[in-house]
Amino acid sequence: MTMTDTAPATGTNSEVVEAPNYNYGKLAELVATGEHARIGRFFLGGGMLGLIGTLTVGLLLDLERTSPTKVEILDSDVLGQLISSHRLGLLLIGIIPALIGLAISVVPLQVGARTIAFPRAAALGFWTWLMGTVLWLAGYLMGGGPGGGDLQGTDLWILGNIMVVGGLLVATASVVTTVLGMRTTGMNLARTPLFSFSMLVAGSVWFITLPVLVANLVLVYIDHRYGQVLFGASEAIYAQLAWLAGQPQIYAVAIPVLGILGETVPVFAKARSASNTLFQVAISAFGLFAIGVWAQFSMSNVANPDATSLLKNPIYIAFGTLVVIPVLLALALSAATIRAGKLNAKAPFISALLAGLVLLAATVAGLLNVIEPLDLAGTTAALGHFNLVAGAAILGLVAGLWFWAPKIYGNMLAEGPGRLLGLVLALGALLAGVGFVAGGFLEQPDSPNPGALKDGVDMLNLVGVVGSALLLLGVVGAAGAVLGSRRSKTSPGENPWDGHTLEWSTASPPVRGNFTETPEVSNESPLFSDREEA
Amino acid sequence: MSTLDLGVADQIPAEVPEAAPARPRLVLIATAFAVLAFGMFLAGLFAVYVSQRAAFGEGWIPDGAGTIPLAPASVMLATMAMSSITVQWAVYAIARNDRLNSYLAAGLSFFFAIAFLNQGVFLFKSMGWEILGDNALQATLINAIAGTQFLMLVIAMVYLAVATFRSLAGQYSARDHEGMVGAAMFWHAAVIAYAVIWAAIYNIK
Repeated sequence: MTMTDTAPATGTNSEVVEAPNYNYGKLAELVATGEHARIGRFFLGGGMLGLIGTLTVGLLLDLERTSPTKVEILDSDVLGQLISSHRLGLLLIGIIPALIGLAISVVPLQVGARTIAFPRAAALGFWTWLMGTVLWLAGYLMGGGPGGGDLQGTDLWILGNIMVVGGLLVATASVVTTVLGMRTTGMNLARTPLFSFSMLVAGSVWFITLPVLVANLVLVYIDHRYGQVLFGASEAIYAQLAWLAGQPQIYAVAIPVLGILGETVPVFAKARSASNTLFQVAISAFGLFAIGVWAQFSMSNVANPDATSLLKNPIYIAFGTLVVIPVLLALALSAATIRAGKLNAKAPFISALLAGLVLLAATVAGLLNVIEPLDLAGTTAALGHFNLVAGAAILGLVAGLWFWAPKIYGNMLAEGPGRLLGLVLALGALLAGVGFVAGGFLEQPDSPNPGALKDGVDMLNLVGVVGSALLLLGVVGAAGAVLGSRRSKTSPGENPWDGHTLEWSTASPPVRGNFTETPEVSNESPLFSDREEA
Repeated sequence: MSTLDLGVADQIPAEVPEAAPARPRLVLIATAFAVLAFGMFLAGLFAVYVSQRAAFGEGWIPDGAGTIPLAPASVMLATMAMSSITVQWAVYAIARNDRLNSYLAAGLSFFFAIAFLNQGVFLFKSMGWEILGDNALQATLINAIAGTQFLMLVIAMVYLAVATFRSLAGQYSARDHEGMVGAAMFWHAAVIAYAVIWAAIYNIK
């Protein structure tokens, strides 16, 4: 119960007890809430808005690229700033908070917990993230983003970033502690639902890597505020942080995609997962290959920072190559599950499967990026790779939203638009990815204003623009579908999809305390087993 | 009948499910992640330090005036080591319901921590480096690393203070003293962080 919740009015002795009035008002209730479902919805809403904003910036940059020899749409002063706002923003303001929101809503239900661990810490994480986002935006508006000229704006931008990452880490701590410490009776780690397991892996990877980003930001702040001997005025700031959006670290935002894939496929195939253990191995391996904090080219060659220097690092090449294997394994296990069952392809399944396939395309693009003779370093191949991974993560998020909407919002999301949005997002991710990877093969530099280009690049840039526009359209459509569903008055029931895991054994939306009785499990698909026995 | 006239059990509403069995370790798990985060934060700073140090070549830390004096840095290490023992003593005592010794040990830990911070201020003043001065690069990096460890220690002090006050309020005892263990865990991490700084920066230079 939060400090602002009204105490229940009845007692176990059937006598009616007058509840003390602890009503501090709506605002206090909003700010100090300890309800995990509500905090999850806050993060989801904020993340979706962040996605729309940063994808819009990405679209503007791609449009600018269609006139490579002169700056037509944007101001040349803001171009450099917009690159960082698109790439870092898409991850820190869009995808990661939205995934955390999904996890805060769903993970406690999946592991049979009454609430999330440290609910007020999770709420603190959200408000810190939100305030950081506001400062981050204010920094950009003042012209203080990387490459911008406003010194105070840059300080604000750095502070905003630190608060954003700090808030995300606090909320992540709640999620991973829930998975590790609040699993219900009988649920060992091997029986943990795959989405929760993937959030444990993703959260651990974020905990290993995001503090290093904060360390970089602190250094940048001290240097920028005083001597400016390390990174100069603000030109070199983004180079110090770009590893977050580069290979292999970028895969860290896509780890939950595999969990969502592993969760949805058995439900819609109406079969047990081909191998839960192997799926967990695939998720863990993918997480391992997503630890990219060491791949900072500005550190590998301090005297002359150069993105190509990483291509001589055997670990970088090994990670870029091996990361394909866990994705292939997860897709193969999904195919085996589908074969063993009787498929009923609904919107969440379509989006999840497409997310897996786009992620496979992303890892293949990443593999191309680490092959030195192809000479793709510094070209738009990196942008294409980024778009593919981000597209896969967004698709996975949309799949998760459609799948768990009954538990998060208490409503089903519309099936038809759900299928269409999955296809739109997948097409958008593929076009925005493949277009720019192909542009990289034609030596297009990774800059929105690259100068004279080879023949054919114009067409590829147009393809990229269409892809970015479709991605934006898909996210706006998903947000619209969520808002539209709030008007629905029909209850979806406990288990509208015939789900296999514990979240489907409670009401939609869940009752207070999540479960009326403490659930117990004896395998990874308790509800599926119950149905088999019945 | 007012709510004050009822027992606690009477006020548990019927529609609320029974409480989940107590799950230990939540505070410890979260503390472990916090330690991991600070460890990686310091590792990130050290990575930049080491790469800049390697690129700089000879004369990174100047000889003579302005060098890092090893004696106070080593006394700081000894102080931190003693605080590690006393903080563990606090945990040991509360685990045996020996509250008096637990409070005494926690008090000593605070004393050592404050002494350490005081010595740290003395050390940096005696070095006389300024971020805007001749050694701007080194000062930026060393101040960032040392400052992070100072911050860790301050957080550890706040954590231990909260745990100690909770002990005073009777929340922690031999049966459950997870918060004290968590505070000690974070404290030890701050000590280890200083040991690494002492070895890699103050000693090796």
